[in-house]
Amino acid sequence: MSEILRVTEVHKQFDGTRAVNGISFSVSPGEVFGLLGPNGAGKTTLIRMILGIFQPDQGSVNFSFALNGHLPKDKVGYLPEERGLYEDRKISDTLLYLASLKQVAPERARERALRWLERMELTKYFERRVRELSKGMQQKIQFIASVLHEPPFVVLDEPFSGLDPVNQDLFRDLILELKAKGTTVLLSSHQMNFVEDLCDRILLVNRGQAIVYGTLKEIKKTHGHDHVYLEFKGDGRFLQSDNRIKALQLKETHAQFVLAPGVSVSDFLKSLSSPLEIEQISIEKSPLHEIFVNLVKSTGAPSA
Amino acid sequence: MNMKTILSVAKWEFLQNIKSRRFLTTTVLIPMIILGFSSVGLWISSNSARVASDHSLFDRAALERILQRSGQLSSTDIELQLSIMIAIPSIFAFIFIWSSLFSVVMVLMGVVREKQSRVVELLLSSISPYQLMYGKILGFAGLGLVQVLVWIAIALALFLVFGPLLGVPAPLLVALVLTFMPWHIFFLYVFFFALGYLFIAALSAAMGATMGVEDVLSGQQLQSTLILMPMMLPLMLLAQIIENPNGALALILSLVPFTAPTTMMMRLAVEAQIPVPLWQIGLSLTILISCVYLAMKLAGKIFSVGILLYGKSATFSEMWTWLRR
Repeated sequence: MSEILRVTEVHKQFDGTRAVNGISFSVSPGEVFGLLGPNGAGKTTLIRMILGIFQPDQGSVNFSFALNGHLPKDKVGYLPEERGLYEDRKISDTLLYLASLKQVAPERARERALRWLERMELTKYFERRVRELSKGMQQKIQFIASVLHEPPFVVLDEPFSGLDPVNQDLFRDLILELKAKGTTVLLSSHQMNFVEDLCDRILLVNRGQAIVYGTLKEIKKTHGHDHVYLEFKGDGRFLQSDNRIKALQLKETHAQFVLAPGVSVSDFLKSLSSPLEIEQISIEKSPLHEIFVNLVKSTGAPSA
Repeated sequence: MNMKTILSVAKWEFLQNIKSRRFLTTTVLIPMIILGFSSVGLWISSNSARVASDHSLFDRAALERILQRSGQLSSTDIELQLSIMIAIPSIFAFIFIWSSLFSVVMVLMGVVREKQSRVVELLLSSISPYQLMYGKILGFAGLGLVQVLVWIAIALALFLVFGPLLGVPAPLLVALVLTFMPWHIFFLYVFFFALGYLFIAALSAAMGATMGVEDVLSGQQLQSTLILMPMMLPLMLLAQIIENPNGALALILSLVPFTAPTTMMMRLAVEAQIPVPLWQIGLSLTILISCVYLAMKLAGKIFSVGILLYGKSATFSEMWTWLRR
């Protein structure tokens, strides 16, 4: 698999605190890559190293489009988690300025900015000042700033936070549009439902280290459980003695439980059919939310 | 180092600030203040000029020769001439200090505001901290230039309007000013001015990056006073410097980068009468240029670390560890 970004054994320390402690991963061109982790896990430090804002103490960050080991900063876009714009400046001036720092000619930047504002239904704010906008609108402007120069690689740090559900959906669509255009997206988010929707592969970090790294499917297979919901006729009490079953909630006509790790679903189903008349069954992998919580709990609270 | 992005930052700072209220008030209000000061200065200097001529510090014959070259003058005009001779460096020193003060405050506030709004995060994903800092310095140098030009224009206009009212014809005043401000001196003025400005601007940018947002908002701006106080020193010692322009005090002040620009402006104003040794001009410039270079480098380092720390102001020992990285 080709790579657009390869991060190798990066370390970063601040005043004795190890913010990032030997993380390696790679991102393929055109994918949406999820960077997950609890607050204080080292995500933002990692992102800053990827974008060349910080130099890693050890290890390396390599982009496929780097020139002599130098990252051309006009090839990356960034929506920082810590958001802010020049409060008393006009949207038009701000966007054109930020685009000029990415080497976009003013006429082109203007044309693209207007197109994006139209997409976001903010056209009439083009000549307004930033402080006249709501938080959500400012977030949209910042999103525009991060993609106005049409970079092949975009980092979106918590793009959904602070948005209402309608705008969250808008941002999800925007990310899918970026992906459709071939842009690689590094997405950091606490909204697990969106991560499940959007991400091809995931890196989970905690305490500055990689905990899990792989495709969503692989991660669910290795770290998820099979959640079973059963409706039946007959006596379900024998389920209580089945050691393949965990967290059983047994009722008169239905049961809810989790299969123990390593238990094959098909074997379990075969053994189930004889004593019970099954009316309905559903088996689902753990949601990412649960895997996230379990993995973070088992690896300890963030150090910072 | 990409020059284009530095220019983009400079252009942004220039265009955004030239329209700001703070720029307009300082550019228009300050001349009024200077006017007040310089009329006091003129009064003081006419006294010290009398003292000076009593001590025959100035070669009266030489002065008169200059006067004859510039036109027919009565001996009473010598007083006027001496006043102008002292007024010019005072005005320039004032302009320099006020325009530096303006820049120190604007650069500090600008940097701190970018930190506060976290725009800096966005900027640093596009450009290096060095580019950001140099762009800012360049942008504010442009603003400073506009300001100085406006002030000089106002000063000239006042000279030309009020001179005739006091009975001195305008052409004579121009001739007098040119006598004390020949082109080579003017060139040196510009040079000292620019270098001094860059030195101060670099320090302010670094200071701004190390200052915590809360500290600035709560008004603890001790740092800016630290930069500005030494700059004021030569102005307070104006009389001593002018009376003994080649003395030890003047020499020392000419070698310290904080005081060198203003001191040299004063010394160069009486150049026609008491020439400044060339080696001193050379040494002063060499030290100043080296210090500007050093300040730019060190400030860049401090700036690049400090700019991403949002909390409290950095201590000097913290800055020291950043410098050694």
